[in-house]
Amino acid sequence: MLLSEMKVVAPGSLTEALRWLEEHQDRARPLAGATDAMVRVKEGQWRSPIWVEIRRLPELQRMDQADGWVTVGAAVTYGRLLRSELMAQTAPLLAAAARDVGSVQIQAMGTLGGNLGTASPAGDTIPPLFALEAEVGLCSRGGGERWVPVESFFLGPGRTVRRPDELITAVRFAPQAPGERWKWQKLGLRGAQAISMVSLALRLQPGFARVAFGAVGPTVLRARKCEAWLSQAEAFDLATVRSIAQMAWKEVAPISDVRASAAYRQQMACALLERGLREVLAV
Amino acid sequence: MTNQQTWIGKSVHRVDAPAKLKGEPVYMTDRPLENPCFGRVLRSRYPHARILRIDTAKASALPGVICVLTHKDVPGLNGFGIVIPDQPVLCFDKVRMMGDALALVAAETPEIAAAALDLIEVDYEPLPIVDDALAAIMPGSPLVHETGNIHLRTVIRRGEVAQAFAEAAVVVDHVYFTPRQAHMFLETEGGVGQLMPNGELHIWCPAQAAFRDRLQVARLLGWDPERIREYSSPSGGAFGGKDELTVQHYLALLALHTGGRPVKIHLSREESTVAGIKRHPFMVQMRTAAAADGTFLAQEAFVVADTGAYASLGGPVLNLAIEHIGGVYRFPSLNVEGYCVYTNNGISGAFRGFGVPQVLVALESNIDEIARRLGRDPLDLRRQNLIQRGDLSAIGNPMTTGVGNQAVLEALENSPTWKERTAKKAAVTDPWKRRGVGIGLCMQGLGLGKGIPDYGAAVIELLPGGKFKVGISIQEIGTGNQTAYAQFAAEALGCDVADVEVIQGDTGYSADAGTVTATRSVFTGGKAIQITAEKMVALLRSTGAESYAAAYAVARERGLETKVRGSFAWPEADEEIPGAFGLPHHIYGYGAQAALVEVDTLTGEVQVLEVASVVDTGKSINPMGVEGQSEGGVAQGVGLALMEDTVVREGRFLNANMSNYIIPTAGDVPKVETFIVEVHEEKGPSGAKGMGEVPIVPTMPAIFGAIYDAVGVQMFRAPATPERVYMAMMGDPSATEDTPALRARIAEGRRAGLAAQLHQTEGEGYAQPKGPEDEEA
Ligand SMILES: Cc1cc2nc3c(=O)[nH]c(=O)nc-3n(C[C@H](O)[C@H](O)[C@H](O)COP(=O)(O)OP(=O)(O)OC[C@H]3O[C@@H](n4cnc5c(N)ncnc54)[C@H](O)[C@@H]3O)c2cc1C
Repeated sequence: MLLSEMKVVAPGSLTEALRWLEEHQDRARPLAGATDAMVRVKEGQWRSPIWVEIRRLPELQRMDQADGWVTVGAAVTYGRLLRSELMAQTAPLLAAAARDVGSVQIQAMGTLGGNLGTASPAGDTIPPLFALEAEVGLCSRGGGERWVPVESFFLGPGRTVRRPDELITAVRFAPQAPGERWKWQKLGLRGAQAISMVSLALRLQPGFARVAFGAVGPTVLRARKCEAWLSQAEAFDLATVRSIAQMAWKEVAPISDVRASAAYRQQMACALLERGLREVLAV
Repeated sequence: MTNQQTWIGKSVHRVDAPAKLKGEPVYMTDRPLENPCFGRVLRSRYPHARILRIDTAKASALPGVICVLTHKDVPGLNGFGIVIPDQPVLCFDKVRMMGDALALVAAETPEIAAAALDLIEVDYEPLPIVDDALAAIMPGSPLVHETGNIHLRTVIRRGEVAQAFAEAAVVVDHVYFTPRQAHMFLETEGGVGQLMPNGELHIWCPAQAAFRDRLQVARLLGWDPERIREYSSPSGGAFGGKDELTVQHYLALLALHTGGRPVKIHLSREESTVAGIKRHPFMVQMRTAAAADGTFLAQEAFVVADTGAYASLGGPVLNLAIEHIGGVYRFPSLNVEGYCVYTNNGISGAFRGFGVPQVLVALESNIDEIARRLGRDPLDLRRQNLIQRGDLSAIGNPMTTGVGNQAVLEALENSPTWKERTAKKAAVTDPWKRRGVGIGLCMQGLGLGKGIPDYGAAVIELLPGGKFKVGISIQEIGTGNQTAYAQFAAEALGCDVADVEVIQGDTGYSADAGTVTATRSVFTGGKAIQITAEKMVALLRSTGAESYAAAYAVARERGLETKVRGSFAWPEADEEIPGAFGLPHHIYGYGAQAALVEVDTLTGEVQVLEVASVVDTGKSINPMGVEGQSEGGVAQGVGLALMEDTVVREGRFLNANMSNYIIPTAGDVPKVETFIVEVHEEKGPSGAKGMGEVPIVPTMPAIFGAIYDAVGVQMFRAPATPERVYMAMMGDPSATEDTPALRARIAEGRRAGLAAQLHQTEGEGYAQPKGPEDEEA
């Protein structure tokens, strides 16, 4: 399909957008900030006959807190995320990841929903969402709204449980505790504008730990053994931190590509966990 | 020259800055066109294959296609190349790299042109791939060219090498590998071609050698060069990557078939990466000997440069590298064997530094190790061995022009990065991070070298109102030479910079002053402008007028020619270096750098925190411009040392766009402090010599030295990615490439190389590019 044969429609409401998706199914595709879409289309992939522009839909812009949930609309950009007072208080982990995405330009256009839609194991908002045990909101005209735990949302690289007639509308999660220790770590090949070779989202409270790694498996994954040891540890000296970090080695399953070898990525999962723990625990 | 100078030596704002800052379409690939059509190039599907059949019938039949051309449509010589024309314009018998061109299409829209490419049928018979330059030397290797895989062999032996090694107190011997760095200019290769109503062919294409391009295009068309006009300036970056023909040949062929409509080609980033020139990857085995008191005794090196499928400037790159194998130091004995080798790994050619960064990292790293083994301060050991004016360089060249190595070393010693290194290193914050400081010193031969015609020329025209137009072929590729030329002219003519318009790179107006390469543009252009300006001043005097405006009126009245021309020949060395084409150079630029780095021992990440960059410019024409070049050189050097490499496996490119080909961002470029040292060059214009390439050259060794200083591991392969640094710190076997098996291959390669019967005898095998048609010297 030629570029000039593709059509972009700009519905004015969520209902209208969902109608396009329902009517055209696999022939239509949501378009948010286009920061992934443009790249893929240029490479000859994702040549969808119809693109349904959703970036400006008012229904997808929310950022609020109610009934124990913090909810972030799918069309919220990184720029808004990382400047939001609400995020700074309730999900600083997610805001930190947003700050590390691409560049100012990408942050101005790229959206949370787009990061989930692309479903790259290296997507930078996904480890924080795993660590927050977030839920992904999906909506269709026929089926209405459903909420899927983020861990069950992804099936593999580029594959999710979203049906072609569904839009991602939002994600929601319980806020981070005020005194909680947390860390976002990203290892790329340079200081900015880098695709993650390995990334880590870490949350720590007494008796509670969440550890999620990006770019070291077909999807983002939780390191549950590390979590168990961390939540059971009584004191954190350097030796304990190192031995727990070393366990990450067994929990990840990276591949080799032009950016890094599998062996290095595996080591780096441990290194990022060690570095993250030492930073938050000052050991 | 008087001491009181109005323009020379002043930080004048760049004359081209306002339009560029405002985003005006100053670049030729941005110009709006009337009724254009769009060209595309069909590239190879295999790195090495025989071509059995090319069928363009279906593509030609596609509506909207204007023409489809193959080798049958090349009227003249189907070959090009700066030194030897070994690269087909359009391939006919076989393809030797993924970037090889098989057919050209012009169409009404870019999309139709792309669709037409898909409709061209080519049958290939894949051939074994030559992807390792060392293996390519061995007997029995598949051949990239029938004439053999060794494009050039250069061997220089001097002094009593064996004896020196036998008597040495320290011998350091390592193997280094440097990457296939891509130029990554912002403006990829592109341009416009048009057959004009007067029968001339006009080409608008950012380039570095307008007159030579014109000659190459004329040769492939079988035309008189005078019928071709190339506009080649400005360029959105070049760095050597636009020294060879880029798309001019395609534009020329297509323009003959588009009925006078302009045809535009602009390569995508991916096509640019696959088809364009790269920095030659080098393997350098280097053995350096020193006496117990630190005196350098001998240098021995085996150098293999991967030139890819075609020669381009591979030979001269190898030879310049060899010329600098001993750096700025005295070496009484030398044994160097160098090979420039064909493979199916794309194509390599000119790139800022021109082979010198590739060998300097080996030399300076070896010297650091000698210093450690002798318990010497690395800067002090270097000082002890510096070439003095009148000494012979390592290859035996008497150094008779301004030698700036002492001056740059002293400036480096006084830079805060070096002087306060202990405090800076101690200021590390996290316990898992380590800091280190390293240094590198370099020189860089300027101009084209012994025996290669090298000349400068300019035209100056007096305009109404007493303004001037200066015409010179040397292009503005982003370095700021347009401003420098205006400064030279204003100084010599006694006018304001704003009254000088500089026309560059237009073969229809500008005088042929050769290329914008080899750090020759300030020297060449400055000198040519000064010589030409004298003629203009004489013209003005002859009118007897009080002002230039009045002089113009008088000249017109008397029918005097208001345009003057001048030219000169570059100074060159008295004696050539036997067996080494183009060597030696006569004038050298000097540089020195110190880098402060921080290494994360948990991940292997290296952050360059600051670089002190010293450059000996001779006279600095525009100090602000020098700082810009210095900072840019360091940034590109950081990329070379830590992140950049075009990864080619079995002839195929794995990171052809900028999401995987990593160059430094603002988050990676250190604070650069530039120190200008002015070692007057008598032969240069106002004492200047030029400096554009120099600042990229010492960066890699300085960073490698700093990494060692921080964490105690020597990097032998660039780029030193986090993974490589980490593996080296861990002592992982994968980090050790210098194995007995490699040594055995090197020994075999050296034997095979020396035994090889070469199609071209070294030193004399090159076909000379023809001189300029309108040579006036
Ligand atoms: C230069 C550059 C740097 C980058 N750096 C990073 C980085 O550091 N970290 C990182 O994680 N990513 C990075 N990216 C990738 C990209 O910016 C992010 O994945 C971004 O979040 C995509 O969002 P978008 O709104 O642009 O998505 P789009 O490109 O518009 O869409 C992406 C995909 O998601 C689908 N989609 C979008 N919105 C919805 C929705 N509401 N419901 C259902 N499907 C939807 C689309 O159909 C499409 O398949 C970078 C990209 C570029 C070009």
